[in-house]
Amino acid sequence: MRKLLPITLIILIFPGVLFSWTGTDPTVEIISPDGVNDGQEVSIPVKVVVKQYNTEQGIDYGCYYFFCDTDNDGIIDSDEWSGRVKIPKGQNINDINQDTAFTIDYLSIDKVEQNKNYFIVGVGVDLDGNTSCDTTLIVGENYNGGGASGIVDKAISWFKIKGLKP
Amino acid sequence: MKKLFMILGLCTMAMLVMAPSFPVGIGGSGGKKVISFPYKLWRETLGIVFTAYTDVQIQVSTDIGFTDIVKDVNSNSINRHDFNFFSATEGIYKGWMDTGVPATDILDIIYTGDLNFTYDVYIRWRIVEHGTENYGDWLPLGVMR
Repeated sequence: MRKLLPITLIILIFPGVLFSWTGTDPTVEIISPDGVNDGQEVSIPVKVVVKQYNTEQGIDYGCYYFFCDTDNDGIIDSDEWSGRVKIPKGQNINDINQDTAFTIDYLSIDKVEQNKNYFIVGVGVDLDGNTSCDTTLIVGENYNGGGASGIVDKAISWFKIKGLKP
Repeated sequence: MKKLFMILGLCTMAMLVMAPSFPVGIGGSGGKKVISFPYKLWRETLGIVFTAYTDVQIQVSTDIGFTDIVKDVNSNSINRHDFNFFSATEGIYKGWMDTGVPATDILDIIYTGDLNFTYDVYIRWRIVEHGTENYGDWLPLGVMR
């Protein structure tokens, strides 16, 4: 009986420990420029506001790719994706697990031009390395997401530059 | 050289921000004083250092070498309620969060804790990644009484 007790405890506790280490899908939302109501005209500087969270497990980091939609068709082409840069300043947003919005960057005239369209694609990565979408399949997605990469609408923003803020 | 001018400009700005808040003379007028740390300007000048949750640490010293520290406070402590940040997202001052604050969302930091001194003191501050020992560089805030 005394031998059975520890074994029983291990059997009961182990799945719980294992579950706590199981990765979950982190969620990224691009609040501004709006990832859902795409195509809006925004002024320079473009304030980039996001949420990134994981309700079951902390998020490791979020990364946000910014690039020009050179043909203005709202679809991510291979050469457009190749021209992506990570914002802000090539860095990830580390460890922040927050379902309230916060600003990550301001895009100014060194990055955007009037009357051109741009994308921001947000990807969340959890503590086990699971990602919110598969960026190897991102080419061909449009601004609504929902394609092969698994990216959702709110994680991909497409917007047009109106001009300088008065 | 451009960076040097920017840093000098920031120091001047910090002093201008401080100026109205500090009564001149020994003992001042009593009560709370407010100091402001324009973190966004520093972050742009130095380049982004932290992108995670962050805290701020302030040290006050009687000497320019900061060997005689008379005050050392951190927002990741019981003093958290003395710290506020100006949120880039919301455009308002908000109380410091117990998780720390996303560094990229901070435009400005204010400290409203006790700063009454009867002698000249020097102040410096730095950003700390929340819950770690990853410290940013010390930044100057100048001298006050």
